[in-house]
Amino acid sequence: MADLQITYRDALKEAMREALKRDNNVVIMGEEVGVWGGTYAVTRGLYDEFGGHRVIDTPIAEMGIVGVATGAAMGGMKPIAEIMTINFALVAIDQIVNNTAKIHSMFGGTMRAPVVIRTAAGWGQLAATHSQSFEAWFAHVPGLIVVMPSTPYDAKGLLTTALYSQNPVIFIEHSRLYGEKGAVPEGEFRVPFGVADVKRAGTDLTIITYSRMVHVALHAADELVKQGIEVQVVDLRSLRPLDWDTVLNSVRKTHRALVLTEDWMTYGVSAEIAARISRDAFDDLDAPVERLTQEEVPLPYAPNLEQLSFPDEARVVEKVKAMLA
Amino acid sequence: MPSMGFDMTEGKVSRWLKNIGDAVTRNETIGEIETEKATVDLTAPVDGVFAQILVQPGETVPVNTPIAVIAAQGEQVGAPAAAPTEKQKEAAPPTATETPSQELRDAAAPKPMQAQTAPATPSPSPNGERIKASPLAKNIARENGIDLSLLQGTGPNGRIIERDVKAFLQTGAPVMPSAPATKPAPVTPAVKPTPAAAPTQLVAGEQALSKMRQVIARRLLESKQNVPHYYLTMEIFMDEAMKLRAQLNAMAANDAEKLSVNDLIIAAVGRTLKNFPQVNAYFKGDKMEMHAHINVSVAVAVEDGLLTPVLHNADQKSLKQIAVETKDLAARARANKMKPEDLGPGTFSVSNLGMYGIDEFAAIINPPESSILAVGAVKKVPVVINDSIQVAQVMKVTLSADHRIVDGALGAQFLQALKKLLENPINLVLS
Repeated sequence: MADLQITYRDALKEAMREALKRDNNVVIMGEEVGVWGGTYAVTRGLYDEFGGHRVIDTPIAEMGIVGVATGAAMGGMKPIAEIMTINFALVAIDQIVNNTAKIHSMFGGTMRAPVVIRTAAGWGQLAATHSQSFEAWFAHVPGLIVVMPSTPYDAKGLLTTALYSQNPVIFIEHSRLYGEKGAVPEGEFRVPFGVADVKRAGTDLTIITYSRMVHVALHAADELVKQGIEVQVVDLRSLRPLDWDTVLNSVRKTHRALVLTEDWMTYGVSAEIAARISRDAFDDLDAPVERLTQEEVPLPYAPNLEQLSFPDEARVVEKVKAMLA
Repeated sequence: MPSMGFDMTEGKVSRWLKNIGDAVTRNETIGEIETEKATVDLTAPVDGVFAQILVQPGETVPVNTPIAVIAAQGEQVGAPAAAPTEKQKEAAPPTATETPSQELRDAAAPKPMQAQTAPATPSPSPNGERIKASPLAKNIARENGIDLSLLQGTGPNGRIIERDVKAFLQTGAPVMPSAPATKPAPVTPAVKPTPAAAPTQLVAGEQALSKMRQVIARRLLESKQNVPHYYLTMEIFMDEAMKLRAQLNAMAANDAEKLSVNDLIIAAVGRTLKNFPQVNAYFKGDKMEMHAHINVSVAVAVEDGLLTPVLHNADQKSLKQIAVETKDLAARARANKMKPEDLGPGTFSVSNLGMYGIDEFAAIINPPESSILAVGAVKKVPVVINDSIQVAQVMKVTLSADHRIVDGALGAQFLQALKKLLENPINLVLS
């Protein structure tokens, strides 16, 4: 079928619509996901199409949302629990870490909790408590799958895979990507977990990144190529499981690695990736693995300071040039 | 892989002498093992059937690795009894009553890391400083036999990076940074004959070090660097000993029984050591280890090297036995056919260069032994005896001793006793 140019938001909605049609066990539950259509309008229209018993508005109680969804999943349903933003997932972290992630192991393999927890990372004058990147917190936990798509295509393909998965999935969207348009095939298709995507091929340096930072890396790569520097951009797409083969093969080709993330540096996603590269591609490295991440501060509200807190195209260009100097 | 000596960590199977299905008897030679020091026969520990080869000829494995299976008559041999290696253990899937789905397993158990290549040898620069080089640069340098100390790094903090090594490979000259190099110009080229021309014409040829030479280099450097040597030289009048030797050799039944001067010295050393347990000892950090046996290591020059096969219990052997056994020992060493017991452990070494006309020399201690006796030629020289000048046969011996356990006075007393015995050699026959 033909590809459509649709937004990241609509790509996600398409994946859910197809699942709601296909499988009566699929339900969506969360704060304002029904009548209002979702804070980021991802579920807009689904309440009208499928009704309040399939697209369920819940109280403002994240612990309850995840608990109910996990229990429903154990009972054979396929719930999509929407946590409005990842900041609110902290309220439900005990359910996610101590129940959802462990059901399969602690019941000796007899139970499963294949819940899909959709949530949004992102920022934009939302201030310190509503602008955080907690992917490392969840990717730390055995038993969870953590994915972070960067494009409409990956968003739909990964969400479809999540909706078929037998394991709990933390599906982290990005609020600043919802309007991003891209080609997405009509109908069902899947992007597998644990398979990274080389979004741009290059020979001089590898940028390992995911989610919104993929776009920052690609823009920086456009600028760098004018200066004769070819960077390879690896979009991880899923953080757990992580496609080490693609990461390491890329570093073995370019001999330099920059990990670019929107979370904080200390104990962050970049720490794990840098450690693995340093060990497994040690003899192929021509320079230390470098990291570019959010500044280690609670995010300021003032837009100028907020902008300064994140790696942008200019800073990526500067960093890459320094690494190749 | 049996251990053929206290310092043996690995061994190579040179060849198997039995075919699968052959019957073997205990102590029968079934193959040959090559250690760092020598090639030795491998004997069957039990009677049985040579059932399985686990390590092929040419393969090197750590000591205690199963290398073959000898089965009892009629026994069925299944899978190799090899213990799982670390890698196999790492790769083994976690046990669980029900394995989680593939995607979760991928998430939970990252693939074992790639087999690591051997680390680049850290190359200290000529002035002993650590050289900064990227792992990739070290890798390329190692593959091409480039000495990193010849290169000037142009990376951050003067780090040698890929481009520096590649430039060197292409031009044979270091990449010059904008500032002039402060390092003194190297005098020794270190490049193998590669497509790139060697920077100078000093080298006429190269030869990789044999395993034996590597061991000699390592052990003697270790000894000279770590053992506080001192040296004592003494003249020994050998007229009586030479007379005795001539008498005994005249009575020898065959050539094998004929005594060399060195045999006399080995006998004298063995018998003297009985009264000097501290010389027949190893320094072991916080203690000294005295030995129940007196095993004399005899330095034997072999093609491209030196071996020190061991004559066990030298103090208890007759002169005839010593004559026969040392000849045998030297022949086996030269033929690279040493037996496991020939490799040690020795407790004292004797090195003799008298046959080359050397008057005297100081030898390097053969660790972990504490002493070595360097023996010069027996020469007729004028000596003063009872205020008259006479001709006597004199031999100079030099004891190199480890001062940590053998003090000067003790070493001197040992030499005195040795001298006394060799000058009254009838005691060699009587004891």
